[in-house]
Amino acid sequence: MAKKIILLLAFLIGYNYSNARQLKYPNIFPEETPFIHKGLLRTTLTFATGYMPKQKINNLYLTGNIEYYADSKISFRGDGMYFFNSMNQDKTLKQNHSLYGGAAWHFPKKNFDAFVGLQTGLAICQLGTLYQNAPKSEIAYNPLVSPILGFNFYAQNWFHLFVNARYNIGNHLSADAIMPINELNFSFGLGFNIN
Amino acid sequence: MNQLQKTFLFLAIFIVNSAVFAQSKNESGQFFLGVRSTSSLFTDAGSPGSGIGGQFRIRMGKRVNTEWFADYLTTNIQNLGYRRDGHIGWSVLFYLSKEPLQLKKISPFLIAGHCFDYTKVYVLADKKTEDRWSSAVQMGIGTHYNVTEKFDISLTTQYMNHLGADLHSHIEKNGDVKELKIEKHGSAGLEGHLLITLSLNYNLGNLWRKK
Repeated sequence: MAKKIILLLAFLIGYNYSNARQLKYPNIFPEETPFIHKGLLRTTLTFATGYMPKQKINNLYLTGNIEYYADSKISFRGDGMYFFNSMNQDKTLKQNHSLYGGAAWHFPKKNFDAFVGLQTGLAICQLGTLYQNAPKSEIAYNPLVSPILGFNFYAQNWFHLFVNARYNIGNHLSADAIMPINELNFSFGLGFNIN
Repeated sequence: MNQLQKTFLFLAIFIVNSAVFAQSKNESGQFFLGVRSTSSLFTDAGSPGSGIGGQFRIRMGKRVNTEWFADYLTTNIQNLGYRRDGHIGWSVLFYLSKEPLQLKKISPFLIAGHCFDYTKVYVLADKKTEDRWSSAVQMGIGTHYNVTEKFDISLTTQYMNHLGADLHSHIEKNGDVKELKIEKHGSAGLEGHLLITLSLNYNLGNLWRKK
């Protein structure tokens, strides 16, 4: 019973704080909403799936990002992806972690925040036993260019729903093999935002 | 020093000289931070390379800016080997328009500068590798497009001419078999490549002026 009361109170406080902010900032700018404005900082951590069309394999990642809104339409964003494994027992990849940095252009409308963006990245990639021709395969640092697309939906003042897609364009170049590491990634979940 | 290198140096001196005379107190000190992606054309065996990097700009005057960059590029040489390049250097930008960096307008510029670079070429078949450190000069043209007052997208095309030891690779056909060969010469050659850079930049403020 006590847990239910605490949960109800937490919900009511959050709801009232959110409404109070909407009343305080009804229309800062025509396209600016109570949630999407200069200074907004958001961050996420979730799982992502990836599909490599050349190798025809699906990969699983832990992914996170941090994003700062320079104004309601421009944001700067850094992302990281930690490679767990290929889901279909494929031995192509042993590691395929990556880091990204870039900017996104937003189309905010009330609580809905669609965006497109472009990031450059670096993949830390090591091939698996399928390509290993030495006692240990080489770890290669491969540059990536990565367009992103998605949306955020801000329902509360400190968290939001997000859907994100990215397409990595790059090549793995090592003494073991040369191959494209183009990949379509998809992730969704809940993120936190600080206003 | 050959004719091409003399031309590079002359243009670099011209642009730096212009910078001194074109200084303006109002714009001087603006600091831009950005990320960039560079494509390299006409490098080894005709294979294009691509890479990533970062840069910052410190504006010296109304029509003069400086750019400080680092790039990491890789090239797949027709699946026979690869090349890795690292560049770190600077450039001076001279704006052709009298009122550059205006909202929703292009700002074309001349650009020239210098960088230090590291190159490594690897051949898959015989596991042969060669590398070299050198410096290079680069020169070209480009433009900014200001999407907002503080955010710009820039496109630059430059020719980079290496001043150190000559390192290049080429493909030899032995019947139906293609072989990648590396050549390294101690003397400086005319080795160079065309670099096309796309960058996203944000003006973070003025380094030595308060609003």
